[in-house]
Amino acid sequence: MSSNASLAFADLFLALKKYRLIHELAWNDIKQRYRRTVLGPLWISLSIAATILGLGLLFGAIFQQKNSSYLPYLAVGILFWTFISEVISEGGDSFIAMHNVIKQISLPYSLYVFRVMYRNLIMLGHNLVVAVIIFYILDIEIWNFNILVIPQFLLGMVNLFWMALFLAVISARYRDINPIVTNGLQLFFYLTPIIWMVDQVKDNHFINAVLRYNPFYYILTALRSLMDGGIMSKNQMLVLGAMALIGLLLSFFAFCISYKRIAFWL
Amino acid sequence: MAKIILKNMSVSFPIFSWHGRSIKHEIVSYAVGGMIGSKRNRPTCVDALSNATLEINNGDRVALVGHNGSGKTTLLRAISKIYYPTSGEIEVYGKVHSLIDIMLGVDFEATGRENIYLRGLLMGLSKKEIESYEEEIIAFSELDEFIDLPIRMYSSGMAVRLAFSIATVVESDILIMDEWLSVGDAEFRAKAQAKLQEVISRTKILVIATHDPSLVEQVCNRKIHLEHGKVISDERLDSALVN
Repeated sequence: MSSNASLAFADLFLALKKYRLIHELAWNDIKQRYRRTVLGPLWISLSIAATILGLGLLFGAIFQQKNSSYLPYLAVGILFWTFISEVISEGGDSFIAMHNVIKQISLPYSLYVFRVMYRNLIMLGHNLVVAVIIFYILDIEIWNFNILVIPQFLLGMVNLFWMALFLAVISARYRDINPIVTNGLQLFFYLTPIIWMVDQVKDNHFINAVLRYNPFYYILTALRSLMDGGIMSKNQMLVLGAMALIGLLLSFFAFCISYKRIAFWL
Repeated sequence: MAKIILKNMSVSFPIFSWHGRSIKHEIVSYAVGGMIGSKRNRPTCVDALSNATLEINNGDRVALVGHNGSGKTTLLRAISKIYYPTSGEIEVYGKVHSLIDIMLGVDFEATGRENIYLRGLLMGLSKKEIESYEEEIIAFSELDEFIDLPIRMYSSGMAVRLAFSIATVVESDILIMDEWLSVGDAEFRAKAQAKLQEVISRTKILVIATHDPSLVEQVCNRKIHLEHGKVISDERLDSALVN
């Protein structure tokens, strides 16, 4: 067991050492998707913008919210949720998708998870820039930067990492997990305050209970604070930290005991 | 100093049925099957390698022979640290380089030059090392200005020439091959042959899986015969290629 643990630790360190390979693979993934298309990466940005506009105007009217506050809120929520759900579903698929390479070259497994995160981070950054530009033109405020959000943002990222790693490992063994996760994420899109705001339900005990037990609520709040500058409360931070700790232990445990068998599952 | 030591090494593959891969099925059979000691479907195992004990040292040019399914690829993957032993031990000292799939990771939409960088990184080279090898690779592949065009515009022969040039530029302690690499038209082939023999003479250990007896005779000084995952013979040979 201890030899497995040292293999797993060595895997993480070696993956981080190969940051150039991660960078190259991630950028290549992105370039591959957009070479020889007319709009290039703008394509995804435009389709997301259309979704945000559509949902924004509709729910803005239904909830009787002002566009100037609702649209940026929705835009930030959707962009970060897209990031979260892509990391989790693509991350969970990362070993399976790379099974050909894994069986030919010995590279650290966690490298494939880092690559998925980095690739989606690039896409997120790109989309955020586009969003800031669009809202600047519309003269609506969307970016409220607060340097104090960096620790909670990083903690959110750590949580995403362990989820992706854990799912990558167990999905290699049980192939029906990834579709289940994808479905689950669709459900969580509605259970997490993306289209709706926490303020709107503050008197509803049931929904507040659901919110308290929704891990993505904490992760999304932590990540989106990069744009909206919202500092999380001490309780929220405690939950986020506990999630990270337990999650890292859980995913690392799964990684350790499965380490020598992953190649055989693919 | 390169060395490969196997001590009673076995590698077993689980074979999963469709249900064996389903978490839903696993949960249900726990719930329904219920009691301790009840029979659940354990995956069938294939013993790809059984109790292999070998020592391969500096200077060994090993031919791995045996029928399809005898365990040759499994042994090569175990040496490359892709498969871990299910029991027993394997120790590998030295940098392992595989010439088995030289096109692995090639991005057809990227240029030749970009692929040199990508393949180099996949093979474990640093940025500096890749930069130092870049001109040599381009020169050997004879691609000239095509190097800055995407690989999808190459003929298949050109793409393989580039892949070959990249794969053979690397120094290694242990070289792994699956059959001989034969690339390019008649002219390039002669150059490639010479290069491959040079690479083989420079490496400390060669392990090549092959079905070709004349190859074994010409290149190797040791022949390990596998059958159904077991080492059935291990003999020294006189090789024509004197190291």
